[in-house]
Amino acid sequence: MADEDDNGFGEWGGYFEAKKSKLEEQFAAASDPFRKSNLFQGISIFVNGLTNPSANELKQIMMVHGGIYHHYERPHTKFIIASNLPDVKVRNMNTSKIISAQYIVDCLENKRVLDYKPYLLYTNQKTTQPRLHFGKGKNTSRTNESMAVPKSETAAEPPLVEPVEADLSNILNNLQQVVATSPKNETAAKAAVEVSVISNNSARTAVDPAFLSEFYKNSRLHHIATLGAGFKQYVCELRQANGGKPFPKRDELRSVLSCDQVMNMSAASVLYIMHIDMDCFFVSVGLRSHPEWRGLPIAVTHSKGGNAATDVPVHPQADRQAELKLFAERFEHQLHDNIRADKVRSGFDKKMSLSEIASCSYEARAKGIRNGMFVGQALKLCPELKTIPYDFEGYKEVAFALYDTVAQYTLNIEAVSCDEMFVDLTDLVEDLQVDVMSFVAHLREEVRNKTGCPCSAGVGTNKLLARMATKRAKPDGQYLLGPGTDVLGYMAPTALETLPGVGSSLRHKLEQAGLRNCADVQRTSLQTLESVVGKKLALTLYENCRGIDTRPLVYEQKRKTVSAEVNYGIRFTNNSECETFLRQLSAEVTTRLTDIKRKAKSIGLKVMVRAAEAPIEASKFMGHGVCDTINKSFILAHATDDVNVITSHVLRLMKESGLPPHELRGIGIHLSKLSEATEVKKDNVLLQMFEKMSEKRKGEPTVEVHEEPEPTVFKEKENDLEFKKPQDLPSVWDTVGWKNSANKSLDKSPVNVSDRLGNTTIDMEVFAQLPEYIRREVLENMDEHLIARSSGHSDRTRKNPIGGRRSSMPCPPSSLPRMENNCSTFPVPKDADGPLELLRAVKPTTAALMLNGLQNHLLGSNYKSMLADWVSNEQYPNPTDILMINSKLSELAQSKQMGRIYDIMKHLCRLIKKKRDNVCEWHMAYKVIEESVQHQLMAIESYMLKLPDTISCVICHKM
Amino acid sequence: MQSEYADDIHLEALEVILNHILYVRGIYPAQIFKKRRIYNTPIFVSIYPPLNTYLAGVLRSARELLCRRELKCFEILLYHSENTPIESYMLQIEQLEPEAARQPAQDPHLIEYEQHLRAALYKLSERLKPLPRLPGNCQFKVHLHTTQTAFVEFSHEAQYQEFPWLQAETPQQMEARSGTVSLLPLVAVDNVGLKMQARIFG
Repeated sequence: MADEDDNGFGEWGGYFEAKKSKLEEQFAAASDPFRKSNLFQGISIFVNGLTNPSANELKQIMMVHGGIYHHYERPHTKFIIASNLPDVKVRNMNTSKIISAQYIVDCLENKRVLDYKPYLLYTNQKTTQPRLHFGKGKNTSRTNESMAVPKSETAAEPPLVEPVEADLSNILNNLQQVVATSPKNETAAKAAVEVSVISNNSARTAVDPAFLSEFYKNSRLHHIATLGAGFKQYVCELRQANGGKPFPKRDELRSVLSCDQVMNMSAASVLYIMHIDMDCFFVSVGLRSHPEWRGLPIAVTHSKGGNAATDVPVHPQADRQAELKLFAERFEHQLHDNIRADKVRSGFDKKMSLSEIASCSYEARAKGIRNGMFVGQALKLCPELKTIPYDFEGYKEVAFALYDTVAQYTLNIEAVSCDEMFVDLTDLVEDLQVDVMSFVAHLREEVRNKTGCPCSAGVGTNKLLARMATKRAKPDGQYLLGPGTDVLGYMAPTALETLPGVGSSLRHKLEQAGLRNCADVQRTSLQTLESVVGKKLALTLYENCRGIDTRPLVYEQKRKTVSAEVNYGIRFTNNSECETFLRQLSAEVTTRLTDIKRKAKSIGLKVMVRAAEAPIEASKFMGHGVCDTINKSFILAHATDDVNVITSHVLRLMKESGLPPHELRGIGIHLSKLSEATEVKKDNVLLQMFEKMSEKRKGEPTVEVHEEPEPTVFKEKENDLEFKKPQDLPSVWDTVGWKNSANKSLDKSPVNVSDRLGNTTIDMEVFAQLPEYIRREVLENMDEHLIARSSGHSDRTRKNPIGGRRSSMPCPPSSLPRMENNCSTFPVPKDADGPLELLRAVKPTTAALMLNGLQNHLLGSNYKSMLADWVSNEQYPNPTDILMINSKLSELAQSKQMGRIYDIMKHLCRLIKKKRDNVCEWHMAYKVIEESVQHQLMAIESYMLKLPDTISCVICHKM
Repeated sequence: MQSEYADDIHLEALEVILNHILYVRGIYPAQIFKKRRIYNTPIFVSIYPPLNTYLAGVLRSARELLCRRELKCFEILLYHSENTPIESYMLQIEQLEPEAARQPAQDPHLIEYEQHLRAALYKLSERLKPLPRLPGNCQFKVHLHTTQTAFVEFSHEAQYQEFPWLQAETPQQMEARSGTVSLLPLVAVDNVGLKMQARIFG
């Protein structure tokens, strides 16, 4: 510092600072005369290393177009232009501003400042990480690489680097899609032209239409899960195809093993369950093509391993430390899963790869590497660890070979996963009269010969013991936990977590109670256990720890759920992207559903949302980070496999969740309550009945208005309403009248009902068993469906005021004069005669009835006349009608139509006061209605309604 | 309709209803109100300067909250002694984003809107008529229902400092004390996004 002060440049911050500033000034002064445009106004560049166009050319461009060229990198330098930087340099720099020289060229060409993101030279994605390639097959990708050769920016590089570079710019484009808030940017397309044809639409996020298929092609969980499910199906198919035929292989075996006939018959009654499991399935399959690596520590993972895995560039927005803390906390406190918490703690270090190890060889396990560990952490433990990629085709091949081999001898197989199954050998051993273990040895040998992979098998008297025996047998061995062995002693040291159904949280609970292994539980009484984990679980635990397992083998397993879930690469920017993706996912899940020929009744949507405290970008590239999971589901009325139905429900569920699309990190659709597609539901008679009725309805022609003598009368209504022709009206009255009588007195006039029902498809027995309200619904529906069908049975003499609220004007034509006489508020004009005038009064609600049979008519504008009819026509109120009013009012209350309730109550009160002032029954009716309404409102709004009027009758007040 | 205009229009409705209630319920002597024509309806509006200043302050704050979409409910509380409210008029404001956006096409001159408000004002008068007369010497105050964050933010705004708001007791506390409360539905103007109910205490 002292030197610099001495040299007199102190006030400029030292010599070099002064020099840099001076150079800048010189540059500005020199460029002034040449300036043609201000294209690069405010943009400063620093060229590092060899570029194309060269540093000099770039300098000139900047001069001419108003930019600034820095001779030295300065803190305010906006971009560093480079074509290739050595690792050391990159490490010391913020990679977010290193771009390729092509950017300047393209800006110039387009005459505007483009988005620089597609030109970023280094992003947080490792070039060695396997990529999802969208929209291109193998062939196109090859052409891309060859197309990239004439690319200018890598001209200085040896051609070897080409594919990497091509990939890199691919990544850049992808990353741009992720990072940029405005993903649709032409710049991406522009850059892509130079590099590869597809890279402009090769988004890695779920926004891309091809995302889903590409995702499922690479998702290991998906492959493993579908393989497992597939084998359950496969066993089913094999069993159905076999149909009790003998197994020819058994005879073959009999001759081979005949010498071993040392079985005693007494043991024949003993169950022999074999659990067979491939040893490090993924690894051993992978090693088939690399036998030279046998004996080395091997891991199967997406990551390429080596240096790459310990030095992954980190996304600028990702905050590993924060995420680590969150993950660890969640695992510990919510799941009590210390293992996972530790894994996150030790694996989230700096720049280590977050790829998980799917499977590792026994040599690797000896070094402390475990399945599910992060590759970065594993490499720390064992630097010489060899990683191999997934080989899904190989897994399939080997798994089929395994299943086929076992199926030659018996079909009593319970598939667990692609490399693991339970086999009931009891019948086989009895048939062959061989020692069970010699058969197992033979089988294992055969599997090894066919697949080239080792497997282990355990035999026990139940599933649990078989599995326990396999643990002892591994690797590449077999073990018998026969009837004679000390099961208790064998189970004693077993950790509780290895038992089926014991997960991390249950283990935590048991640990709190001081129970760590089976021996601890064996010493505990059932009662104590019950107090810790509950009755059902306690019994299972109690038995399992003693080697007792009552679960039978399930040979023909039916799928209970079908689902599709993606929680990688979900980065939406708007709702429409999200919707498109949901549509695709719905289609995917529906395909899976139809593939297994089932229909689903329950649709569930699982959404992972970025936890509020989690960083925006997850540490794992495009991973989901720390999330909150939200589940929503909907039960359908009928099981369906219609993609449209499923899609619409999924979209609705998503909409209801109201989650912002950019916070979504994972989406899954789960279909459950599956039923056979062909299965006819026998238990749901009611449903069938309604279905039949709606079929009928379709067959019925709708009656149009156009034959109307005076169409203008009807035109006042909404245009699309349909009306009955006047000549059809009598039948309307018929049904209404009939319905009313049926409603009121089902037992009093059963003839009515059965007469009517005789014409329909309704089963009387079923009908009689229905609850009251459903009976009413059925009858109402029938009115709609059968309205054109006149039964000839009429009840014209019957007064039916409350039916009037359904079809507004209750009275049949014959009773019209009487009505006019005694009803002063009746809305029909006094000069009215003939059905047409009547129709005018009927019109609004009839129309509404036809539109929607269940619409609340108290909402209509003519509720006053309805109420007036009711009060004036009935000497005494009918209880059914009161109930109807009540239910309609409660509907209003539910929909918070307080104003309307107020009006109705007020009007009703006045009507009763005016017309039925001396009929206490009416007063009581009003009181009942009022009380029920107030009660309803109290429940909904927690307030009573302030009603302006009350009926104060001295007589009934006393009652 | 731009949202700021929409807010001003809503605010005007609030102002009219507030004045109307004060007049109809006789909180102030009728002499201080002057008949004006608003929404093509005669409305009595206060001309009493101190009251007007107070109302202006209330409405200015309400407008700020309205603009921020933070105003849930505009409550006018009529009371005789401080802790025993007699009537409370709750104007629930529902933000009708999609509807409001649709409005200019459907109702460019706000004729529908005016008609709805006009109908609402008449209905209000009609429904308030049967209520018993208030005892003399009644007072009124206004509660703005909002979120706590909005309240905190709001009270830090320099320009609203001269008209400070205090946090009122929550409705639950009030209800717990008052005996019987009944609800009087007054106005529900769906396409305006306004719903009004009165709670009658006692």
